[in-house]
Amino acid sequence: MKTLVRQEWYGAMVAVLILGILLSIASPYFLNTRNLSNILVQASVIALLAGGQTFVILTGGVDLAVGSLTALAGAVAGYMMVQLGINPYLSILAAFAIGAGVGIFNGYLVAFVGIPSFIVTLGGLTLWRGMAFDATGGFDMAGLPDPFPFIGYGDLFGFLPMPIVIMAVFYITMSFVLSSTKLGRYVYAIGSNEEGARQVGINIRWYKLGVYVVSGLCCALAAMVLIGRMDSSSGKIAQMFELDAIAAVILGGTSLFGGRGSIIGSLLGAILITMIRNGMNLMEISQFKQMMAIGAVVIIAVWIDVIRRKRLLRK
Amino acid sequence: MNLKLKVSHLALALISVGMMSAAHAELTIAYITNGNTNEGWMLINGGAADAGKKAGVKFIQLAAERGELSKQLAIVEDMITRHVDAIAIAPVDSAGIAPAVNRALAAGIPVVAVDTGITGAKITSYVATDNVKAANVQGNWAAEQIKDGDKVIYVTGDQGQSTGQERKKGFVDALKAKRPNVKIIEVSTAWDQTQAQNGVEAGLRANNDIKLIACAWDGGALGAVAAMKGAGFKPGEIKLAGFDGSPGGLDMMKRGWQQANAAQMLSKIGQTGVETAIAAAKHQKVEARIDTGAFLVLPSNVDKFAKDSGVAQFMKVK
Repeated sequence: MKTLVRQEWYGAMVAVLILGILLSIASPYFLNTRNLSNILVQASVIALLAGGQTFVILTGGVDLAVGSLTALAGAVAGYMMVQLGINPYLSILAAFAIGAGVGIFNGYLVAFVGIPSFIVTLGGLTLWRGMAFDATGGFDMAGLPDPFPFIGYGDLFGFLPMPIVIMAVFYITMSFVLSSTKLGRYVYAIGSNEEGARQVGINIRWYKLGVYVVSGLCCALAAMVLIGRMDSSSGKIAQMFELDAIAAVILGGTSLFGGRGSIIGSLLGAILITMIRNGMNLMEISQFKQMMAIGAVVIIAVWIDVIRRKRLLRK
Repeated sequence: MNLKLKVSHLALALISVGMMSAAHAELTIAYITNGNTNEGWMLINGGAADAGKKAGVKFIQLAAERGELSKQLAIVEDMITRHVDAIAIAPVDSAGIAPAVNRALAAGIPVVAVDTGITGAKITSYVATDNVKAANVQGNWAAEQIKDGDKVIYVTGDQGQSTGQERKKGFVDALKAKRPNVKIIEVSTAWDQTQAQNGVEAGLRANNDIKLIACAWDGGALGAVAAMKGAGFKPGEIKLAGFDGSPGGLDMMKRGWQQANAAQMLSKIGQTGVETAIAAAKHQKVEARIDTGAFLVLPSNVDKFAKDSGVAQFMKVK
């Protein structure tokens, strides 16, 4: 078991370390506590989304609507708090309810009705974004009440930024779920051989539905951290975050075809993407080149994944 | 060895761009744009870059990828890490950028808002056209073109940005002051030309008696022209008022589609923004609000304006 884990996220870990060394050489501003802490905080939202996405991709599906769902959860919560004056903790609950609700909706269509996840979530991309704008009238809500400033900018023990704490607790929990619970092992089983899993009596449909609920809840959590960081919320947030989330999962070593991968890899993938952006910011490289670099790295990572899969099958 | 492939690509991509050493005594100024790539912004960014070059400072220009707020927040944070001497920024979201701006101010880095204001932070200076005054000029002109009770279409900009809010307010207030019974059909956009075109098309289809179209920016006017062409209108049948004084806008005027343009001194906005940031970095006192002015461009003075403002070089119709 341990050697398998080492194999999945090992590549991402090495990439992060080597990139870190290169960036330390290329820019004197890279290697200090402040910048490294910034990187982890900046990576946190994508890392949370990538965590949920890992579950979905492990079953061989994909959730393309995570950015829009994050916007919906965040926009509604923000609207409730700022425009309607509703208690912030109730608003947070509402955000999670939205995440779970959309997750159930997605999961039902994919697992019980049989529509490919790509289609369901592709439609969801515009559907939830539109709903986010509609529900809030397209307005921005600024100046969020407690505990949001603390979530976005507070420190635990005086030095650990809250987004990092949330990200760490999340990953420790999810890693445990994936490796040591029934849900986790069945998710891997369904992804690597769905027919086989069905034949040994695993209830495919409920577990497949479950991973979309997990993804939806992660979107809500990510939304809370995101609006905390921005101290504002609107239907516009989290545009195209799904691309970064999926890229993080792939870079982390999880196969797009399902059945193989690790959640720690997704965390490393999110950190890798953020390091690329941060490094390029410090070296004053334009947004366009940053987009090119990340896109190229993702293509290379998938390429490697496909080659690896061919080699495994050949054996 | 597959890993080496991945890693060596990264190495190539990054190292080939430069190993920078940080040993300068010169000032470092960061200019952070909002990722917009329309002509208006190209002129503003050009003015900013020129000012940076002329002043002989280290000039860093970065843009928020896809106009995304969280990315712009990250850039500001990275510039704080970079210990820049001043930041000139065109925020993607007037309120949302405040947390990062406050951190920069707390770190002793002066922050100058360029073109779009920032709320929730005590910035060093705000350099922009007085959008309300300029939109008033647009609204006043529009009022002269129609009778009370006529229908007009107004294409807005992003209402999450102060620029969008101020231009709409300035136009509507000035128009309603003179023509209180005017019917304004609003096309709501986020500075997106396609949204403008679609909205104006829908407005023209639903109403056959539109007398005038006014837009919060010239990109919207371009969209409106496309919509008018598609609906079979000829230049000048429906009056069009633009905003920005951009090359595209003035081209439209020379071709007869646009009859008035509340022009901003775009290049000056970027230039003054950066100059103010540099002055603040040198610990000189700067004004809290700098109005770069507006000019009502009409077909009678478009050539002179284009030449004086430097817009002429980008225009297609000379």
